[in-house]
Amino acid sequence: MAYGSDIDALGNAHRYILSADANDSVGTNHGTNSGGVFTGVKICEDTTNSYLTDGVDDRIVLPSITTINNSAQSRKAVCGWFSATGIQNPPKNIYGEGDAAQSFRFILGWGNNLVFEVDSASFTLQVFGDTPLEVDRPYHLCMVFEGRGYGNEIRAYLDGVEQLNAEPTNRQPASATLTARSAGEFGDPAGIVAVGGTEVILLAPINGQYAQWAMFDGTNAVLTDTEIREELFEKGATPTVTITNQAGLDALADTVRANSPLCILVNVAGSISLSADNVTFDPSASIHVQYNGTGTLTWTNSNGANASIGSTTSSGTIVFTEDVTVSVTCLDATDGTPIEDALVYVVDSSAGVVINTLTNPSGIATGTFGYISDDVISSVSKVRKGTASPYYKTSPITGTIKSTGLTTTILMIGDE
Amino acid sequence: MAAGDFLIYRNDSSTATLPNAGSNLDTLWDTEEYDEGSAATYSSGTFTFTNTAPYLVIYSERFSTTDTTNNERIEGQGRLRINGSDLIEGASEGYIRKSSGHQTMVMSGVAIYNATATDTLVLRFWRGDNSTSGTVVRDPDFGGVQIIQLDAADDFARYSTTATNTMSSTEASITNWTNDQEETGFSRSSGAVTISTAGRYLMTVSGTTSETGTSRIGATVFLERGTTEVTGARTYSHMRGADGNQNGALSFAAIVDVSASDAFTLRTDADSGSMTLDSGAVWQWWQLPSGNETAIMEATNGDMNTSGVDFAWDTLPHIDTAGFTATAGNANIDVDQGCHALVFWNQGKKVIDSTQRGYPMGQVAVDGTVRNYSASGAYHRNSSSIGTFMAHGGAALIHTIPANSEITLKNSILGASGTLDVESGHFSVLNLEGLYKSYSYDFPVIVTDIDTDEAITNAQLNVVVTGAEFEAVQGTGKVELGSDFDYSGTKITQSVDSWSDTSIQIDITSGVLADTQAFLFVTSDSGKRGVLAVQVGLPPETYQEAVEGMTLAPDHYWTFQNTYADEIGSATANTSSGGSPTFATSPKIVKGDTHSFLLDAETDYISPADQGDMNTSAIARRYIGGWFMLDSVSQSLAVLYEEGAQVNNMALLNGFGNNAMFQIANANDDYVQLYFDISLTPNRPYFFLGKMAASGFESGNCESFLDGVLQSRSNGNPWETTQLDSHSGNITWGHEGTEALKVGDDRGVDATTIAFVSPVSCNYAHWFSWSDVTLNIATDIRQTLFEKGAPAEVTISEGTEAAMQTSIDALADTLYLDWPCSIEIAACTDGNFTLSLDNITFEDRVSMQIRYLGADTLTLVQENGTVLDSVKIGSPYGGATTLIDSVPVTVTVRDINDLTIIEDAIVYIIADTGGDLPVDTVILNDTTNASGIATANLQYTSNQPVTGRVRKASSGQLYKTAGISGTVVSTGLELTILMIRDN
Repeated sequence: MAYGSDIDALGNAHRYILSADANDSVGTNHGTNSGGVFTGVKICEDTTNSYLTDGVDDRIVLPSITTINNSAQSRKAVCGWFSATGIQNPPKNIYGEGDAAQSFRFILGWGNNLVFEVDSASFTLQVFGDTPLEVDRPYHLCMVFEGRGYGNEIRAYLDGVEQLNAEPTNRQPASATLTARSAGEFGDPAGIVAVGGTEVILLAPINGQYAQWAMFDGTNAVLTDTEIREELFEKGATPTVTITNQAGLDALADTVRANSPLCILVNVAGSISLSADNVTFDPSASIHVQYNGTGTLTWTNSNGANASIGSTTSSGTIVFTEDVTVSVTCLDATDGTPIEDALVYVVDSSAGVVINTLTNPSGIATGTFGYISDDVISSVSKVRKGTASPYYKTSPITGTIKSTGLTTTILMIGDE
Repeated sequence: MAAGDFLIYRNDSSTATLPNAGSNLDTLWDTEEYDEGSAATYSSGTFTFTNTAPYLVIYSERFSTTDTTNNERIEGQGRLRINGSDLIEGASEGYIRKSSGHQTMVMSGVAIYNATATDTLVLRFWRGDNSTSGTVVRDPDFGGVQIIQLDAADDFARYSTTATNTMSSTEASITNWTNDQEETGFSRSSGAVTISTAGRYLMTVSGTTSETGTSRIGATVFLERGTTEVTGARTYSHMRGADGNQNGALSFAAIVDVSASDAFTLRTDADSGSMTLDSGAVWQWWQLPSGNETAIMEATNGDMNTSGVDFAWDTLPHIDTAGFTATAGNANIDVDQGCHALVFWNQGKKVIDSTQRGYPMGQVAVDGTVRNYSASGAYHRNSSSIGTFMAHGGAALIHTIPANSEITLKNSILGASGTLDVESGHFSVLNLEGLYKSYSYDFPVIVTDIDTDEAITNAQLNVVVTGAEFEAVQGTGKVELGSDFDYSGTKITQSVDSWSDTSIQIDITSGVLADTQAFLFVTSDSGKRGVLAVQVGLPPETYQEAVEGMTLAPDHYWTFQNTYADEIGSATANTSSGGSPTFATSPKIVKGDTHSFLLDAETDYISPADQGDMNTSAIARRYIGGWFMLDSVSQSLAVLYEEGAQVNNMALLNGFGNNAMFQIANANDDYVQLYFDISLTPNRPYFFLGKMAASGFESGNCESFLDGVLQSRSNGNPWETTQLDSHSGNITWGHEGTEALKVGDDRGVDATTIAFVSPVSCNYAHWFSWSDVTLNIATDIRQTLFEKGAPAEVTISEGTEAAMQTSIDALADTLYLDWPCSIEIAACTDGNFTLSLDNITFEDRVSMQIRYLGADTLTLVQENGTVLDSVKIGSPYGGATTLIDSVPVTVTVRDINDLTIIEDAIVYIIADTGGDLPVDTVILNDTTNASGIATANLQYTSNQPVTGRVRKASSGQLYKTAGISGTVVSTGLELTILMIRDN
């Protein structure tokens, strides 16, 4: 199903794709563009372009309508994709409804820091983004208002992750409804608006880019965390790179995947196992690996790879494992000298053979284990040297393979 | 040209290699320690005796190797070489066992030499072993040569042996002496020398030794009066014939208190086996002239294998109280008047100890400070064959000892730890003043102390400088602070309140020497000069003193300590104001403060008059900043500080969830925003500094600092023109509501003006402004402005190392929250010290985890989950800090048959070769618990090989002893030992 349909399945009242025009793809509340252009780069799925505010006075004005602004709403939600090509100097309005007294607004300023702000006569509530927005990196923004008769909270999300730093900290509007306010606007507000109750002339983001904005009202506006993360963000995230097999992943070996909504899409219908060779991820990347198949993707981090944030869009499963080393050192119990050519046999709790080899001149045998959780090795694990002199009695090997692997020393008893 | 003249040279820098066998090292001495009179001269390694006279010659030198590739032995030999020939007098030996933790050897000797004028002296060292791996080098700061002219009128005797003597476990007297020189008062019969006149005598014994086998041998020579050993008159030679170590030497000297007609013999003894005392051994006696002032202490117990400990002496058999003060049982002999003195010491053992190996060293200290050209040491080995005997001893001429100073012998461990008891010890001090000069030495000015522990602060009043030879009248005398030890560089004359021969009171003017190590010079009226190293800026300086004492002091400085005054300029901060700004006694946001300045309404502000070096002139470089604290997350866009307004400005602005931002705006030229890397935590003080640099300075890179750390994000850098124009809108803390403030770049269209408000609430303290300077980020911004002012959550007060450890133990299992400084640690009264931190952790946003106030070395041991960040360890007063991990060594013991755990098994793990620890250092010696586990912690510095064993043989199921081998790595060591049942 296309991303736009995934959004609409959640019951939104309006959706502005903003790829070619300002039209409402769900209803008929079509917006009016003033100054902006629809030639911005693609910033999310199911679009070809984005709406670009290339001047600080550019805007799209949405007709006043009860399902967006022109009623006292007890529940409402607005979400969409946004990206900027630079740090904005004065404060900017990404999207807002209302004026200096009543508002529902996404604001950017002081180094591209985000404020999700809702104002009414009885409260001013701000939720702050956890991180400043990087330039040329699309983000999914979402804000949900629930009045006192419902959840009594304002929730804000960045890439589907709830932002909890707020003032006041309880994020409770303590008001049944959000009073009717002036019409919604992308970009430069036509009137005087405010930040934190102080009047501020906000402008349109220079080279702000918009796509797939949706407005929800009433019951359908009470979006869950899962819906916001998985349906609205993950399904809309555009991958930086798409792979279909191990060769595709091998081509990414020894790379650091840049900060983006989605770093790697594994486009495979069925189950697949992939091993990543020192593929690491910028700490701010929102999704490391997305799998759109219906089977199981087993992703093994090897040689320093560190994928950990997965996403599935078609009921599939991702299992992350990590290669760790199991090392057994065999020494003579009497004098501590290394024992070469002892046969080491280590089996994990799932009967998988981890080591089945002879020790080297340093008395060491090693193997690799795909770590998911701590694993107590099987009681059949043992070491012996009975084929060439000097002989040693069979010794059991015990231990637990942890996230750092397992290193153990076995002192062996000489045999006749 | 007189008895009592002397010359001292030392080695400060040479690391010359002691070559392999077959070559020699004739040593150079790079530093003249002291030259009194005209006893001798020095040039390029050669000393030349000035006069035809008897001389006392003393030397010591230390050598080390880092080679541990094998366990071979090194034999060192040292000789006094006169006119190209080696003397037996003063011969010395050294011994290194390379892979057993004994990497160092000391060679020292004493001799009386009857010189002819122009005789030359060279110190020659060589190796007798046949090891070829690694190198052996001189250790700087341990070696020295001292040459003292004696008086030929004093009685002297010299005897030497005419044949070898066997040194075996059968005690024997040395009898085959011949009289080389025997003056009045001495007579010899066979092996006994009888002295007719009572008094103090200096006695020396020197000889070389040899063996032909490969066994370990320890042999001793000791002095008997009649048939009773003279305590502390014992020397020793150790040999292990393997690796070519078949030659040794022995020498020692002591002051002997003689009664009339006492008869003395030298006797030999050994553990087992035998070695040869070669023919030509020398025995010398020299009668101290009448009027000598001497103190002699002796010991028959006490551990010599200690580090940094002044050895205590049991008895005080002789003391001339005109020159000395001492008490039996103490470590020190005190000089009553300023003097030069000869010091002799000997630490001998003759009862076997359990310690397998050891290498104690002794050095003379004055008031706790080692005179580094004095040293002695000897190797001890306890095996099945030897271990009873060992002795080391030496001598040193200690010059310019201030009156009432304590003379001590300080021991150090150069090998393994473990007790080595002294059964025959001697420590004596002989005053050169009383000996020849009748207190006529021309003493230099000595600066010994200031009453603030060598720590002073700018503008500190009534500082007392003590010492000697300042002269009674100041006259042209003066006290100065200087930048360089040799009196070059910057010097600042201090204000003198009072002056006497031993004490001067001054008021401090540190000027540009602030925050640095400096030197305090006292110049007497006659032009003599003394010096003492001092720290300028150590606690208890206040933060204000630190700021005002900066080399680049600010143009304006507002402390806001209940005053709006500009402490440096004249820009009183509240020339105009709005609302109700106040001073609060709480919170205090900077260390040591009494107040902070508070804005708590949107209309509050204060404003000084316009300043040419801030807002009303074009300027190319500026810094503005200080301490502030917000009490909440601000919803409104607020001005914390601003200069200028709608056209040009510099401003610190808050908003967007306390994501504050510093901007510099010039309508026609440029616009820069500087962001903080974090959002500001309410009720947490911060130190902010904003920097504007025009294009001609530092590439026009404008910067902001939070808690002294350069912030990473900005927009608009670099500044593209040569100045920031005049921005004449008011300077304000808070926002003066009459004018909106421009935000954005006027050169395009991306700008707007905003009617900001003042922050509600914000506390301020210690703000400052600089123009036309560039501050050093590490020293000025981080250390002085942040680290010295950061308020700490908890303070570990000054005390002994043990007391401070107790204090920090009370902080175990604490997580320190976001704050400028978590733990402040004062200096330790013990000097360098170590503290272990037990599971003390810190939030990431803590700016400084530890602030150390001292100037010595603080070693911090991270134990049990403690993780320190070296970047967040502050030491703004010059102290060094070292981080060491304490890692677990865990041994689990199980039955090999059924893998059940074994309780009460004894686990014993010791250091093996190849690590930093001396071999055999015990790491774990414990019994397993109910889980079969024995654990210990090791302070990890590098991978440490270990060896050991585990056994259970005393109760219940018995097990055969199992070996342990492994290496402790940075994460520790975890072993499972499977034990075999025994019957």
